[in-house]
Amino acid sequence: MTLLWNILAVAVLGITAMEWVLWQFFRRRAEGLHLHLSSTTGRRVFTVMRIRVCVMLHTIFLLCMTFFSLLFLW
Amino acid sequence: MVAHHHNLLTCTDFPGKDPGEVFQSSFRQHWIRMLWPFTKTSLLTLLIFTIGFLTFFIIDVGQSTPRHLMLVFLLLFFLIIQFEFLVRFYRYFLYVIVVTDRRVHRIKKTILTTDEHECVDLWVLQEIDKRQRGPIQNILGFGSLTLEAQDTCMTLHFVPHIESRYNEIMSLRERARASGRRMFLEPKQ
Repeated sequence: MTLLWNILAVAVLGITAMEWVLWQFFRRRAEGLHLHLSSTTGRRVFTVMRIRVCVMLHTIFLLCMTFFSLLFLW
Repeated sequence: MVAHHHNLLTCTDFPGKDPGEVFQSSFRQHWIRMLWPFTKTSLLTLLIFTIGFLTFFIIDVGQSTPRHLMLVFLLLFFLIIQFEFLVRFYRYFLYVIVVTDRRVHRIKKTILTTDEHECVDLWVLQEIDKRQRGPIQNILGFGSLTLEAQDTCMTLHFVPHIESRYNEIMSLRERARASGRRMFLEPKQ
């Protein structure tokens, strides 16, 4: 049981860290591409927010899949 | 209102912009570009679910160590597929075409490795070709634009709303040429 909780902790931390690192890299690279163009219509700001929401949903999906599959199939 | 909008266009900044350039529009590739990565990820995820279902519910690997190993292996494979898709998803948003009153900029980046910026002057463009092949491209309204100058050629694939983009670039080229001619003809004061 301890092994399961250790694996779960590593998986949850790993997924969260990976998603966060990739998002930070993306934000840095996208600077000036989507954030600055917002001043014209506001559409680009919305795009960045939409991307953020999608990524957060993806993170939740991965965390749930990992957590429940490990918990129920172990 | 018009002046305010013009001010906003002038202020709109992006990497590699000249101070005198006025932003006109920007676009990314058509969403169909993401169709294959999405389908591939979905199919592979489905495959993992099927293997998992067969292993744990139909065959029922009873022993604890092979069961745990199988579970961890499937989970790792699942996460790798998902993260690969996420990187592809980010890359889609890092490919932007910016059209200004003087140039067309193609900015292509990846999360870590690539950072390309290519631009072509509108007034030197000799040919602007629009290519839509097949029923899917015609129904969904996307295609390729080729911008040809004397020594450079820029091809933009998966351009969405290609008809309006083509017309916009054509009219901007004419405007850029006219203003260039005017500057050339006007006597210096």
